[in-house]
Amino acid sequence: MSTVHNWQLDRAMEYPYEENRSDRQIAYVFDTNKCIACQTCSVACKTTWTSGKGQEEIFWNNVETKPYGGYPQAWDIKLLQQLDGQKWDGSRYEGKTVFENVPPGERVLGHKPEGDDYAQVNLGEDEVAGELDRGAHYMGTHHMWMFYLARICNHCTFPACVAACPRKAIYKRREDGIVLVDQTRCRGYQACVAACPYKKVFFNAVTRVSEKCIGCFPLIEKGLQPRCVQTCIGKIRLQGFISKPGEAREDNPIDQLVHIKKIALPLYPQYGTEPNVYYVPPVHVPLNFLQQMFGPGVEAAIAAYRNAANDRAALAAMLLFGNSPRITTRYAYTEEETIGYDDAGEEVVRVPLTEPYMVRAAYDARFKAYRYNTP
Amino acid sequence: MHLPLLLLFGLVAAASARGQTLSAHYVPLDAAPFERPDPDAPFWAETEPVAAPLMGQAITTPSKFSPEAPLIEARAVHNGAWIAFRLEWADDTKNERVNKDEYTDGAALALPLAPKGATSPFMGGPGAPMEILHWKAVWQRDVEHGYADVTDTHPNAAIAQYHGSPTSGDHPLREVMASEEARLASPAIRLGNPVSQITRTVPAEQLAAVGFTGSLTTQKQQDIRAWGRHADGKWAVVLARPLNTGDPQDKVLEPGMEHELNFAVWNGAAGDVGARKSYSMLVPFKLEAAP
Ligand code: SF4
Ligand code: SF4
Repeated sequence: MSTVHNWQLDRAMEYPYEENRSDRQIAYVFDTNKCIACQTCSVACKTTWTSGKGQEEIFWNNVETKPYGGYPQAWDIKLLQQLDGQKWDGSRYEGKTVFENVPPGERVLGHKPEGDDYAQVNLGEDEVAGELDRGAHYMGTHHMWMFYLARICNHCTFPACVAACPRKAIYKRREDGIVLVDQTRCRGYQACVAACPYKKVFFNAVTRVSEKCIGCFPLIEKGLQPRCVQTCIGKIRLQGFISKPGEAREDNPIDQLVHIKKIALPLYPQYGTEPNVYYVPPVHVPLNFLQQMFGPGVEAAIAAYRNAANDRAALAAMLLFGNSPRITTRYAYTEEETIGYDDAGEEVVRVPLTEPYMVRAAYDARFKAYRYNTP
Repeated sequence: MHLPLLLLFGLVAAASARGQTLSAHYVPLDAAPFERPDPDAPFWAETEPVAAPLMGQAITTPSKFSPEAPLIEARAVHNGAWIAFRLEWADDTKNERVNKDEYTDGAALALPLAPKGATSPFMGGPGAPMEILHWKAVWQRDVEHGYADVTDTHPNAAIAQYHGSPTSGDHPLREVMASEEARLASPAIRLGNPVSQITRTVPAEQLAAVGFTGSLTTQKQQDIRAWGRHADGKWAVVLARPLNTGDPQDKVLEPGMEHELNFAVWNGAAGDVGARKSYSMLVPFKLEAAP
């Protein structure tokens, strides 16, 4: 075991390998408030990468309805039940991670889903947290909630899949931090399937080896965002690179949202893998639920998100979402617009901070007609 | 943390196997019974078995703290050109599929390349390689019935169309894999991963290892034959190869020589796979001189 620093836990933790951060770390921000569960991302991923034999139940990208949905079923609850404590002291995690609470004979604390857990990809879809009192929806705001959680591999800084593989068949690319299963080295032991807290390594029963999200690396290598990001109807996603802790850059939209404004938070940081998909938490969900899911920064993140209209740096970063297939690694903004640039300094995208709009009078004198809002 | 206990257990196990030497009897047979091994061939009854105690594997993780079967019974014969080993152990269930929640039964034997006494039984070590002969029930099923397709693991699967399939609906694996498009969606098959071979005639492989460090590698040159049979709650598996294969990764065996070897078994029903296995300490082994 080595000691590494996990900034999401604000402390050192144990990990089987030394801390050796990649030169660049792929990262994403997903705004849960904008996801409409259209599953375009799931389909884009599936048709691109996993429509072969043995991949019927493999969803590198899936979108589930919280609180009850999950693919594979109960992937998160089964681990939360085993994680001891999960106590935070301010920003510091006082509980144990999956690397610090390892049962004898294992490498990582985990669980292996059963075959049936993969049988329904969207169980619990659109189900709300509880029953509405009769007539509550006529009475103004009610308190039932649900939200959509879009999930991919987190290309973790300290991947549990890498830690668990006895064959060292999983590796993290130095150039972008993408985590890959070597398809020639894997012998299908499925240790990674049990270890990944997010259950984002899948066993292919036809090839008999494990397969996982490849971060669309052929696109990344060309300066293009992954398929799930490019195709997102709700424009909830932005892919870029996150700077190492302490090296955040104001002009990197991912750094701005994650490190500086702390609007976007890691998913279940207490697992300890330092996941690199960061979520803007849903604003309407009870805080205790969100704190377990996104850590102690939830309240502040929601407040910062609600204030984004007055915070041009944050707003300008968020308006880059879904507006270009290309990767924005630097951005700048004026009073009117936000501009994204790529590594070469070339302009990638230009988006107005306020969409152009026209105000029309309620009464149209020419046609002698009143106009109605029909949203 | 369980190491001292296990080492102690290891010593006990070693001691109880030490008294017995596995003797490979000379049999005046041609190559046929070696090339097409049969665990029920009558000559096996004439051989003297050795029973080696099995133990859990707790040297490395993932581990297995107690063995699936208490003993493995080993026999061996040679004809001056080929050698065959017959391994028999108790296993109530026949597990010959792999899936998300299914693992295959298997058996292996390991031959140190170095002379007797120089190699660790834990799959060898740096500078002390081992040759491993590894039989897998799932591979035998492939040989018998064809490589397992989706309908073998999911009989009721309804599929609209696979990537690269010429037409809609499900098609047999081999037909689909004829298309380069389809192989692109099955990278391990396309790249020739040894566990993803869709055409297979031998249910076993030869590997090389230098310890429990993820060093296990399928050898380039394969000289192995094998066959298993499950009956009455037991597996009996024969592993055979030429005495001298000409492959530098294989131990050269000669009539009259003394050596050592050890065994491992995997019980799919118990979730055994990889390092989660039951194995024996090194057992002394000698080849009878040929007349
Ligand atoms: S999310 Fe899972 S599969 Fe992806 S890098 Fe992290 S541990 Fe590995
Ligand atoms: S494409 Fe975008 S909006 Fe649609 S489900 Fe996926 S993440 Fe949500």
